[in-house]
Amino acid sequence: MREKTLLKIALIAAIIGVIILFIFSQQEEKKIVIKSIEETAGQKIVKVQGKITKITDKEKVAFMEILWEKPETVEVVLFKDQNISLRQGDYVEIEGTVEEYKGKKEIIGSKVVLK
Amino acid sequence: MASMFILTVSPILFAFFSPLAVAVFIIAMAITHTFLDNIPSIYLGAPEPGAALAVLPGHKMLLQGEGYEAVKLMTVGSFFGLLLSAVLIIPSIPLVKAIFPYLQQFMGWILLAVVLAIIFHEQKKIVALALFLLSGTLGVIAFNLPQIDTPLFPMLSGLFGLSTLFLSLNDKVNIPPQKIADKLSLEKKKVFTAIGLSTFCGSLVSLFPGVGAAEASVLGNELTGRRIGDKGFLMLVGGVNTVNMVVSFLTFYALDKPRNGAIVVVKELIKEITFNNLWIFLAVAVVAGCVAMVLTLYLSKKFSHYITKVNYQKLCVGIILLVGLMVLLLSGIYGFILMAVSTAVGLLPPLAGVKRSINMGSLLLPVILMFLL
Repeated sequence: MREKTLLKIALIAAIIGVIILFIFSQQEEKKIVIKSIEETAGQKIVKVQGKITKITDKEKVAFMEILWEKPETVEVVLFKDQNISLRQGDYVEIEGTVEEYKGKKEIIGSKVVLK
Repeated sequence: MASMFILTVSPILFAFFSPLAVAVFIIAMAITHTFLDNIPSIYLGAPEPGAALAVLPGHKMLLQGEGYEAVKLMTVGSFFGLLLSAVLIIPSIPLVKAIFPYLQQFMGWILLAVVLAIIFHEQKKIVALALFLLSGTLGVIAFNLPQIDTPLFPMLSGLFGLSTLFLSLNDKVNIPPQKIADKLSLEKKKVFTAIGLSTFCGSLVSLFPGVGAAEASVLGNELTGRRIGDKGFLMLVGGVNTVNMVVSFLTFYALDKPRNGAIVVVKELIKEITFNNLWIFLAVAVVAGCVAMVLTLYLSKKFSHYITKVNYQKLCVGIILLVGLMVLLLSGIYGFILMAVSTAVGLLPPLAGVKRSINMGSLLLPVILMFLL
């Protein structure tokens, strides 16, 4: 194939390809709203909404208990990359991954939204 | 790929050996990888990210029957870069602790200056700028794709590996008989420059997240005004890869920051690195480097012999299919699409008459934006 032809094909493919990839990058990965934290084995990102019933707020990390749908609480650990102010009684939406710590499931939060 | 292998093997070893023994094994393996990776980079056009820029000059030498010398240049660069950085690490500890906070402010500007130098050196400056921005946009998008955890492998495979192989297929190249050179045909001044710069640049970038051996190679080449030529550049790239690994011990010790997959695993194993541990790791790195250098040159001689007996066109097709399959398995369909798009972008600089290093925009632009914004 001639180099000029290959150049044209590569240029068109590159521009269209970058546009397609940009569209993909705007898609949000599916978040799973969990019914029970025990059902979340193997899920990548989960979302939970509820009220903070207990909070221990340190400089770089916050440990919270969230009361959510059922009358049960879930432990959330949030590593802070900026100053955030959360208090007991705040209604929050937490996004994160489920990990097991000392035999108990907890959520390592990556995003928190104050409702 | 080396980090993945280390991450897979280490849990198995941990069941039988002490954490420090496993850490030593990982370091020896990681150092050896930086030497042996020179072989697929040159003969197969399938480099690790840090050696991506070596593909084009290495491939050129391969087509001139000098593939063995190309590997030797990278290997010698790796070995002397390893020795020089091992000697300088201990005295550098207080300096690194003192200057790191200040250097961080300037890293983005340093990299921006490197980019401007790369574009300025091109004859077709507008084309170079456009292609830099295109590859930079590709990089920014790739690092923000939620569907892919590790975009580096598909992106760099496409940009530097597969694009070279496709051009080889299009040009219907065949590998000529390979010469086994006893001596390196590179002036001493260029050897010292390449090794010195590989130590400096490889050390500098290993202090910062998101900046690696590939960026260090570009920085080093621009600092010399590209006067060391292709052979000097190969020695620089080889040195940078190994120095980057060795100096990551320093960043772990002095700054408590692991900068690559192997050191992350070491940190998980031994939690913190003492001064005694640092000595042990340096000694292990030097011993592993000595063995790896001999092994790399021996294997390269074998490769030189057998590569001419293989139909290179079929070999290229085989490698393209293999890399495509690996990307599909490791990164899924989105990774495969990224690889395909990156291949198209990777084809553009050589076809447009611009240096392939312009595609480093895929790594440089995201990192510059990270530091400056």
